[in-house]
This record gives sequence, structure tokens and C-alpha cells, in this order.
Amino acid sequence: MTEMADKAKNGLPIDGFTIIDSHDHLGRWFAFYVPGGGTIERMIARMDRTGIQKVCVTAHSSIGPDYVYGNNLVMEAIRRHPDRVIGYVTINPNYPEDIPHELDRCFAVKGFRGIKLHPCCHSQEVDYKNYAPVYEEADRRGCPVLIHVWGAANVREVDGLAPKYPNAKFIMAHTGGDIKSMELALDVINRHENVYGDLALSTPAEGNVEWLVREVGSKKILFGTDMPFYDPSHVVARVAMADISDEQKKDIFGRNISALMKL
Amino acid sequence: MQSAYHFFDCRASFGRRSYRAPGTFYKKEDLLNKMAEDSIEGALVYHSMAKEYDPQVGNQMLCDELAGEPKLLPEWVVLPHYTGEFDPPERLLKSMKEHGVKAVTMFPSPSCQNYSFAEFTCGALFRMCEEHRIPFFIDMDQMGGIQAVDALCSAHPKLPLVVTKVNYRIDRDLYPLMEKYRNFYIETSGYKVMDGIAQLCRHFGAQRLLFGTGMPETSGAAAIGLISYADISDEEKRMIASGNLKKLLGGVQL
Repeated sequence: MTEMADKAKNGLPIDGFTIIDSHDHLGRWFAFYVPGGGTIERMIARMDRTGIQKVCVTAHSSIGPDYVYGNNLVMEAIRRHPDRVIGYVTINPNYPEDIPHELDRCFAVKGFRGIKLHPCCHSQEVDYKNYAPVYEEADRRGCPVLIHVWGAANVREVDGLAPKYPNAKFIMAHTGGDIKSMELALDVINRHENVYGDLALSTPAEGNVEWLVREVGSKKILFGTDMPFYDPSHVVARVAMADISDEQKKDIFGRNISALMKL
Repeated sequence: MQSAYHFFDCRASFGRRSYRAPGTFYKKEDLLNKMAEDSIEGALVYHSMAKEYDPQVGNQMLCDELAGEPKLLPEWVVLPHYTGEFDPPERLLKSMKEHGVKAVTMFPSPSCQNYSFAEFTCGALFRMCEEHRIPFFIDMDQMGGIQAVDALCSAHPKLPLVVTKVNYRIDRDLYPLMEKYRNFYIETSGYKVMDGIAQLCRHFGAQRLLFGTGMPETSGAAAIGLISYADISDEEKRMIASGNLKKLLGGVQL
């Protein structure tokens, strides 16, 4: 086993290179308890414990009822911790009249590097027509769009979008979610240069990281934890203890998202 | 390097399953190899055939395969006896004693062995476990939700109940139940709440948590990380990693 694996087994932070968590949230959530209210300071304490240097965040409020309130929370987190926080601009397609303004308002702030969509929470499909300006913006900027993708239908929607916006970088959060959809997602990732998957899962199967790397390679898989929905520790350990090379672990832990966000 | 916390898995299995997810294994040897890689020193295991085919058949297969294997302790899948397809409690108890079985589990959900997780069906088994302090393990999704803990623990206050496969969304129910019942424990692999392990330790004490993995279906490494990186003392980590399980098994009166 590698030094990284030994550190994870003994609760020592992974160090020696930069770990960037590509999939995080911020704040409270209506449907369950988030300790400490999910503040950025509480998240940074968990980052320090595990060795994560930076988190890419969207606020829970943004994927819920009020994306402006949420985007403002992200702005404030970036202001307080500019070296630790990277922002995703989040929009709600049910307020189409506000989308261009909100994209401009947030991207004007240094620290926003991508876009987050949560179609399921906003009761829409991934390829809903009101998302078109968002994908156009991502294509123009060549930036990542992190999309909550759960289930075969969502995966197929990304499959349809990816060639239409070749400069946009599509990150399928949860790599499709359930195992059967994940198998489909891996095929989509393999067929499109601009589609990626992440590791945020609450009940990951044994051997999941090794399987994903075997199927699509370490360059197309991103380290994402979904903090503060989940604790980041279990995803850190899944990668650190995986039966893959240290170079592959470093791709997943930070190199890939760093390249996508041009950090 | 081994782990300083001496992990002993309270929730693992082996054997062929109806559905095998890509990347997962099923053989006893692969479980032992994975445990060695992850520095897990031992495991309490049931046989997948006892869950997905027949408890009597699977439990026997388990005992056959565990003969001479010191790192794996047997856990039997139990079934109510009324139909005659499973031993009644007195015979079951005798058989457990003969085979050195000190823990049981059941799978009553409609998609599994399909019976009610209620006193009229399972009461005799609950009483047997309570009287002999036999740890009773059950997945949260097998009980029809965590609310079932309230009925079970109030009727059987000395039953060592370990709920496995808890999830990260249940704190609003979990906290009052943990506060109300001291015989209620949780296995930690599904409990992915941010800083959640530390919060539970502060509120209820580390003695209420047991390390488990759910291997080979769910990730052993993920389960380890939740404990190794928890913001608690090393002593608390060792209690969760193995001490609490050993204490429960040590209290069994067969």
C-alpha cells in the first residue's frame, strides 16, 4: 500500500500536493440536519483534517429556492477565504429572465470559475430549454458545468448536450448515481472528450474508484465530496486507499479539476 | 503500516449474490485479502446465501467456510420459525452455542425475505436475543425506517440493537432515539454526515457506535476514513473501531 493509504488509515492529512474538491455545497439544507449550519469555517476545519486545500462550492440555497441568496453566500465565502474557496455560479431555470444578469454578476467576481446546475431540485430536465443560455455561456468561456446527474435519463441528456457545446466541460456529478446509470455514464464519458464524472456518493460500492479508473482512465474522474451534505473523509479515503497508482490518485485529487478550471 | 485503531468490521458478508456490482467481489478469500489491504483485523460476517436464498442453508455454508478461519466470526441470518422452515428459538439457541455464533441479523423487508418486523412475527426472536444479550443487527432499510427502533427498544430494553446502513439524512429522528434508548447502537459505514461521528460522540458517547463496512457491497476504505478522520480522541476511535463490538460480544450469555 502507498503512503497515502497509510495516512488515510491513520487519520493523517494527505499532503505533498494540492487536493481540490470539485463538488461542494455551503450552508443549511431543509431536509436534514447539517452540523454547524454548514458554514465555510466548519468545512475548512474538515478540509484541514483530511488535507483538502480548496473546495468548489455552490450554496444549498442556490440549488433550492433562492439562487441569488446562495450566490451571495458563495461570494462572501470567497471574500473571507480566497485561497480556499472557488465558486460555482448557480442559476434556477424557472427564473429565465434573471439568468444572463446573474451569470454576469457572479463571473465579475474573482473566484467564480464554473457553473452548477441541479435540475432535479428545480424540477426540470438537464436539457430543459431554459438552460440553453447557461450552456452557451459555458461553451463561450470553456468552463466547467457541474450538473447533478442521477439516473439513466439524466445521463442520456448529457450525452445529447455534450457535442452541441464542445468547449463546455460537462461534469456529471455522482457519475450517474446508481450503478446501472454509472455504467451508462462511463460509456458517455468515453465517447465525449468534454464529459467527466465525479466521486460524490453516499453509498459507494467496494472497488468503485478502481472500476471507474479502469473504464475511463484517471484523467476523466474528479475528486468531489458533496460536503457539507457528507463528510469529506470517506471520499478522501476511497481515493487514497484505492488500488491505483499515486499518479492516478493525484490526477483525481486535483490535477483534473485544476486543468478544467484553468487554475 | 497498520492502522493504530485496530479495526474490526461488524458488518461484512461473502458468497454469491443475485446482483454483483462491477468492481465488487464475492469470495471469502477476496474479503480476507481486502481486509488485509485495508488493515481490518477481523470481521463479523454473514453468508449472502442466507440472505438471498435460505437462512438455514446459508448459515450452514457460513459455518463450513469459516472452519479454521480465526479472522472471521459467524453471524447468522434468522427467520421466524412458525412455518417450520427455520428452527424455533430454543433449538436455534442450542445450535448457535454449538457453532459459536454470538450475533444475528435478519432481512424482513418486502424485497428480501418478506415478513413483518413486528412483535407478532419476530417477538420470539427478539425475546431470545434480549434474554441472552445477543447483538441483533439490522439494516435500516429492512425495518421500514428508523421509526421501528422506537417500538423495538421500548418493548425490549435490554436487547443490544445495532442498526446498520443508516444514512446521512436521519439525524432529526436519530438524535431523539439515541437519547431515549441506551440499548440502541449504530454501525457507522452509512453515516456520512459532515463531522457527524464527532457530534454523536459528544452527544451520546463513543460507546454507541460500531465500525462496519458493508463489504463487499459498499466501500471498506470509505468506512475507515469516516472513523480515522473523525474529530475525536484516539481512545474513542479505538472504541468505535473494535472495542464496542468486542464488549457487546463479550456480554452474550449462551
